[in-house]
Amino acid sequence: MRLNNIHLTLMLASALFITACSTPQKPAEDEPSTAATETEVSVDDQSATTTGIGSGESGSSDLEGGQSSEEVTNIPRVVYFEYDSSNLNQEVQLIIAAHALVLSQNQDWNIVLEGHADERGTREYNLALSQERAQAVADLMQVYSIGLDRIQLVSYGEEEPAVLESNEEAWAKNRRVEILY
Amino acid sequence: MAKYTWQKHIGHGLAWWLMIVLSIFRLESAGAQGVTIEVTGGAYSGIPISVVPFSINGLPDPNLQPADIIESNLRASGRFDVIPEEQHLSRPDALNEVNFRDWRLIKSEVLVIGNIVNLGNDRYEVRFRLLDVFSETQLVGKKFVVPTNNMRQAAHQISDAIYEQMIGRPGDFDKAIAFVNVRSTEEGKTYRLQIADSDGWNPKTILESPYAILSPSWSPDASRIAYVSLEDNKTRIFIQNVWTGERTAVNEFEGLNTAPSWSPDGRKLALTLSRDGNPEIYVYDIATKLAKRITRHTAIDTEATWSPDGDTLIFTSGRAGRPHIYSVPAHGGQPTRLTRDGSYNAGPTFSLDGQHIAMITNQGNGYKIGLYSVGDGSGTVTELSTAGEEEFVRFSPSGDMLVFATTVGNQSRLSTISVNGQVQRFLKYEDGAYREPTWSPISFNQ
Repeated sequence: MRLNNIHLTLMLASALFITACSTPQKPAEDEPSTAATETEVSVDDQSATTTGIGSGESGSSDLEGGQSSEEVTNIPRVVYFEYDSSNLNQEVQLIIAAHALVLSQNQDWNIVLEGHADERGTREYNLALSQERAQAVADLMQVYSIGLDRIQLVSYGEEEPAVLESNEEAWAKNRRVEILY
Repeated sequence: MAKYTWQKHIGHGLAWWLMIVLSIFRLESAGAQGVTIEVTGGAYSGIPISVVPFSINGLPDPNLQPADIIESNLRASGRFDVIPEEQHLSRPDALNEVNFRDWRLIKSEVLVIGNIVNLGNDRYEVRFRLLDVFSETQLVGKKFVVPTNNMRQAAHQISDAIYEQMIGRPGDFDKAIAFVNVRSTEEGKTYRLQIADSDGWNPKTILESPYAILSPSWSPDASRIAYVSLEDNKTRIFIQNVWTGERTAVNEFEGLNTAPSWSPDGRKLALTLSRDGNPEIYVYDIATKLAKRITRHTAIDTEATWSPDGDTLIFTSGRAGRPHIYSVPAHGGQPTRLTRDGSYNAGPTFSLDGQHIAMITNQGNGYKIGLYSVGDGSGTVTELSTAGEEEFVRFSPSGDMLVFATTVGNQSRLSTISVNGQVQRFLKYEDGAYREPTWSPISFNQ
C-alpha cells in the first residue's frame, strides 16, 4: 500500500470510528461501576499476559494523545473472516487502520491478537488457520508502522468459540480475530 | 505457572495395566453408555464364528462375560461374521462336550469355547479353545489366571489370539487408545488426556488441565505421548511418560508449536511451526532439539504424519486454495499432491502397511472419513458413510479398523469403523465430549 493511501485510510478510519465517540453512547454514566468493569475481554486469571482495556489498569491512564479508553472501545474489537480464509475485507481493513491510529498515538500500549476458527474441519488445521488470521491482522498493522515487537499473536483454533452453536450464523461469529490492548 | 494435577502411574517394570486397573477399576453397568455396535454396510462378509458363553459359577459382574467382549471385538474388526447365540444348538464349555455337527449345521467355520474357574482370593482361571469345525481340531488354546479387575483384559488377549490365528497378524484389542475428554461446568472446561482399553473401558487420566489439549501421538514403544497444550496462551508441545506422568516441553519456538507426530524410529517428531512467518512442516530431533524445515509455502502446511518406513511425510496444505493432502520426502524435497476429490481433505494418516491413507474429507456430505489408496494416481478419496460428522481419524495397528471422533447431534463420541465400512462400534462413553483418539502401536503387556 502506498503512503498516501495509508494516510487516507487512517483519516477514513478515524472519521468512522474515533470521532463517533464525541457523542457519549452510554447514558448510564451516573452508575460508576459499569465503566470500570464492563469489557468484552475475558481476562483469565491464570494467564499471565492478556489484559483488556477497561480492566482497570489501562482505564486509569489518560495518555498524551488525548485518547481515553472509552474512545478506544468505540472501534470494533473483533474482526471477522470468510470460511477457510484469512483475507481481510475492506471493512476489516478500516477497523484495523483505526486501531493502528490509536496505537500509533499510544506508543506504550501493546497488542494481543487472538485468532479463532469455526468448528468445521480438523482442530489442527483450524489452529493453523487462526494463526494465519492473527498474522494477517498483524501484517496490516505493520503496514501502519505498528512494530511487531508490540504485537503478541495467540492462536486458539476452534477451542474458544464466541457462540456455542453449530449453524452458519454462529460459525460466522466464531471466525474472528480479537484485538486486545 | 499453570496448575496441573497428575495421575501418577508408577510402574518400575511391573505390569502397568495390572496396577492401574487394580487401583482405579470401578464396576459399571452396561446399557446406553456401554459399547454398542452398528452394522452400517450392506452385504456382510467375514469368517463365520461362534463364541459360546464361558461357563462359570458366580461371575462377579455380567460385564465380565468374556464371550460378550470377544464377540464385540471380533465383530468390530469387520473380519468376522459372529453367529448370534440364539442360533447355537448346544452350549459346550469343554472339548469333550463339543458336537461339531451342531456347528456345521449353523455354518460356523470356527468355534470358541471356554470356562472360568474361581480359585478363591480374587483369582480366576480363564481357559479358552479355538476349534476348527470342519477338521474338528483345536487351532489354539490358552489359560490365564487373573483377578476380577483383569478379566476384561484376558478377554481382549483371547480376542487377539483368535484374530492372529485366523487373520495372520497381531490383533488390536489388548492395546490402548489415548484421547482427549472435555467436560464443561459453570466454572469452565476441564480437559483430560486419557488412556483406555481399546473398547473405551477403564479410562485413566494422565493429564488434567483447564487449557485445551490436542493431537496426542504415541511413541513407537507406547511409553510416551506427545501432545499440544494451549496453556499460558501459547501453543506448546509436551512429551509425557505414560508410566510416570513426568513430562518435558519440546523446545519452544516463536509462534505456533503444534501437530506433533512421532517418527517410526522414535527419535524425531514431525511438527508444525510458524516461526518463519506461517505454518510450515518441520522435523524436530528429540535428542538435539533442532528443527529442520521441510515445507516452504505461503499457504498453511500442517498435520504431518509419517509413512511406516519413516521415509515420507504426508500433510495437509492449503496451497491449492482448499486443504488437500500432499506427500514430501521426510528429509525435505518437492511436495506431491495426492488428493483431488472433495472440497476439504485434512488430517492424513498412513495404515501400518503403507498402502492406505485415511483422512477427514468433505465431498458435500459433511466431514467424513476418507480413504485413499497409495499409488492410485487418480486422487480418488472414498468416503466411509456414518451418521455423524467426523473430526480426527487414526488406523488401528492391524489396519482393519479406524478410530475417530464423531459428532451425532450435540454429542461427540469415540468410535471405530472397519475399513470395509461395514461395522461401526461406539466406544464406552462416560461424560463430556470426546476427541482425537489414537491407538497405541503395541500392547503394554509385551
